Amino acid sequence: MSETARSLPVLPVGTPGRRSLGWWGMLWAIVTEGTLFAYLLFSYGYFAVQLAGNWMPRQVPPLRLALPGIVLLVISVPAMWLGSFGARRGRTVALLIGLVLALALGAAFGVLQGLDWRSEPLTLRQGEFGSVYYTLTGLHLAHLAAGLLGLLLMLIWSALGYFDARRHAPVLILAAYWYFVVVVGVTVFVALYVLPRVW
Amino acid sequence: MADPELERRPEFATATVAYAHDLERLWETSPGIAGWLSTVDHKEIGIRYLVTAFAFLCAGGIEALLMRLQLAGPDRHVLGPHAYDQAFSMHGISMIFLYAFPVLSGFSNYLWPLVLGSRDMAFPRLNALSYWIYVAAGLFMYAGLAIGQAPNDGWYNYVPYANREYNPGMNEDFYSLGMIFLGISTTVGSINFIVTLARTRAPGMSVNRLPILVWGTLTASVANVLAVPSVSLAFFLLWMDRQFGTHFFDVPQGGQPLLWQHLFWMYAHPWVYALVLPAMGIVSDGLPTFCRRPLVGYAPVALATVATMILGFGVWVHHMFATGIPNLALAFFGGASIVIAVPSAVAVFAWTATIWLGRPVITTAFLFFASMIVLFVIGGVSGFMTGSVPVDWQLTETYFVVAHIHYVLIGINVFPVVGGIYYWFPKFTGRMLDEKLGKWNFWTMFIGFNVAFLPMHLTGLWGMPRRIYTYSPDMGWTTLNAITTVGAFIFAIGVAMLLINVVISLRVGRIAGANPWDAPTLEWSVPSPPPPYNFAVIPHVASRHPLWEDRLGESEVTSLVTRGLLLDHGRETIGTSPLDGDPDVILKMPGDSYMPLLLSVGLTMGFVGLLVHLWWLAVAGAAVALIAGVVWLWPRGTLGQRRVRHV
Ligand code: HEM
Repeated sequence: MSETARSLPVLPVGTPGRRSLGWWGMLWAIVTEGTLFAYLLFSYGYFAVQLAGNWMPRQVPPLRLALPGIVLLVISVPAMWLGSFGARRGRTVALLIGLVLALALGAAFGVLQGLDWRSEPLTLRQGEFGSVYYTLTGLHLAHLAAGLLGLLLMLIWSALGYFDARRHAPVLILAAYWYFVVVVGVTVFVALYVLPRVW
Repeated sequence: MADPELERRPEFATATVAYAHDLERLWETSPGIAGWLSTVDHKEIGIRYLVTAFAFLCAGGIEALLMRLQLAGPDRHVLGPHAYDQAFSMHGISMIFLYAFPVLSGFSNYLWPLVLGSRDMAFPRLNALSYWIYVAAGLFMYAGLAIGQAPNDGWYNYVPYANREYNPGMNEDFYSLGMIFLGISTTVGSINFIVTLARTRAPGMSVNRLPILVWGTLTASVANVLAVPSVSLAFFLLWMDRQFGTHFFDVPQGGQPLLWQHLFWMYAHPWVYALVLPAMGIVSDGLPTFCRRPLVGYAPVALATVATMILGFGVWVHHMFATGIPNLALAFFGGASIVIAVPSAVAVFAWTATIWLGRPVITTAFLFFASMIVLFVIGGVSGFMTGSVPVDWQLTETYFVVAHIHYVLIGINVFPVVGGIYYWFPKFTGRMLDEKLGKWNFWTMFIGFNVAFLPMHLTGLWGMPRRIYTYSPDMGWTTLNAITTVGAFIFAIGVAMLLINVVISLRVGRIAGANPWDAPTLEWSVPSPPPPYNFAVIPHVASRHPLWEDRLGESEVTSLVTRGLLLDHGRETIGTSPLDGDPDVILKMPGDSYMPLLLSVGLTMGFVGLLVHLWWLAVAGAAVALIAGVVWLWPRGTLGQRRVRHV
């Protein structure tokens, strides 16, 4: 007779934190979206190697707006962390503050990136670098937009008092996604703004 | 005692009639059109996948037969050159993307929860979404054919020919956007399989007890998660080049055509394995039932499945041997292409040994499974040959390659799939397929196939290039081509026999009962067709062959299928730990929902808008999709996603 089946412990019910299916689904969504960026960076590297040097625009993308932008995006990480910490402890105020801050910082990054696009002399059709530059930053912005939307929803849900110390999986799932968006943002920044300077 | 909505100890007992009745009410799909549009039952979705995939097989088959009529003799005029281009492209696309993989998703969707001892897939609504997007993306690409602008650059769509300069019509836009669209379906479907496997198995279903089909689909799913982005990106870049004047593949501006080939094959080669590994799993699981013994070498076969895929990621360059890449790369990838034969050989030996050591019962399903081994060997040898670089330089772009593709794809995909239909049809429908018609079905397909494709190796060796719409009588290819065409029609008649058998047997087939083949795995422990909740009590699994334990005497503990965990506080199933399958959570499962359908409708609008540059339509589509998504994700108390309110 199978004893394990009978002597089951008390089990949590529903969608408990990291045991929830959504959390697992998000991890894999991050894996696949991450490879998307990896393939795009591979293409970038491929151009760099094949076109050896003569594909950079005369003026590399300026740091004036990009640098403050990426700093703000990175600061959104502790903000998001505060939010999910609040959720896990059932402290709604911390949760709300964290979400608002992350939302504001993320949006600020988005705005700066948009301004950067406008002031950028480079165009989409200007050689390979222009094509790669806009595709890479554009795809990242699309992911950022999804994250901001998620933050907005989460803010509404938290304000409605949906979450407490036992029920908060959506917050953790969104936080995982948000960290991913930030990591990609930093990678894109290094690839497009830093590497062309050190080559 | 704490709140039972937050935590509880599941009851362990036998199901009573009243309890089963409750479950029925909780899990059943409402009748009529409402249920049809909103169902998330994996069994219903699995069947839809199978039926839809067969519809695309027939469409692709008709295209093939038209091509064969055109090539039956020299200088014929069934299809002109442009029509022929679209025919072989749509044939390849239909077969590779719209039939061969989705049909396996159909089996896996239907069977996974049943063989794993669960009540549904991990994400039932995502499952429905994946199906709807698949249909929409398939119709999207076929819409091109309807207006005479189907993709026309072969299924691998090389640039620069696919660039706008050389291909100004909408043909390639249908293909580019269609593939990005389809990629969403594949990706969410794959994530669903991975999480289902990791989290929702019956207690005791440890990784060393999984059916090989599960290993195959799992491996394919992980590969898809890592590979699909590559092709979606490639098609996205192509679309940008075509519509917005970027320069990714545009040669005069420094664009890199070989980048297309890298991105495409980094995806497509693993994909080819995704088309065969689950099918090999069908054979590994089905064959033993008819050999009356367990599969010989379970562990090596499971490992070989995974190893094939890992190696499969390292061989994409073998599609590019003739492109002038460096010699070192040639040596590396040529070597890898030959090494990959090793895990395949493991599987072949395991099946052969299973037949050899067993007492085979010659059913139709057995014939399909066993013949697959033969076709696999032939396809494998011709693949092995083209894996060798100098040979490939001679044979690439000839009919030798066409023969190879078909041996591999028909041999390792179509034959196991049809065998799988004969094997599981009783489970799907409660009735047996007719065995007599089945034998005719098998022999017609087998003979037709070999008549069509065996001579084709020779056609290739005699120099006939692929993808030409006609040839002159002096080339000496006339007789061989005529034979191939005859064989193709015999094969098509064979496929028609299957469809006829299905239609007849649905009405008058013999009633099957729960386990007509006396098979060993969990899906056969439930009635045919299974109730909407699959398992009244969650079974406990103690071995690889829960239903053969008494005669195999392998393990001391026995599996429990009639006594088990009762879960009926709403739609529930058990969540288990990834490796050992120990229960660690009681999961709440979502019910039927229109949101997957609505989301797919929104995405379809969006892609149509992008295709025809109706930006307002694209935006409207995005808005619809967004609304569906928000409703879908809104935290629900019934799913345990938000705070429990105590009144
Ligand atoms: C009745 C059965 C079939 C016949 C008669 C048939 C015939 C053909 C023909 C005539 C071609 C084009 C050769 C050329 O001009 O280059 C072709 C290409 C191809 N077939 Fe089939 N086929 C059949 C079934 C299948 C199946 C079941 C699959 C896959 C599961 C498949 C996959 C392909 C692929 C991938 C190509 C290459 C398309 C391209 O060149 O882009 N075929 N087939």
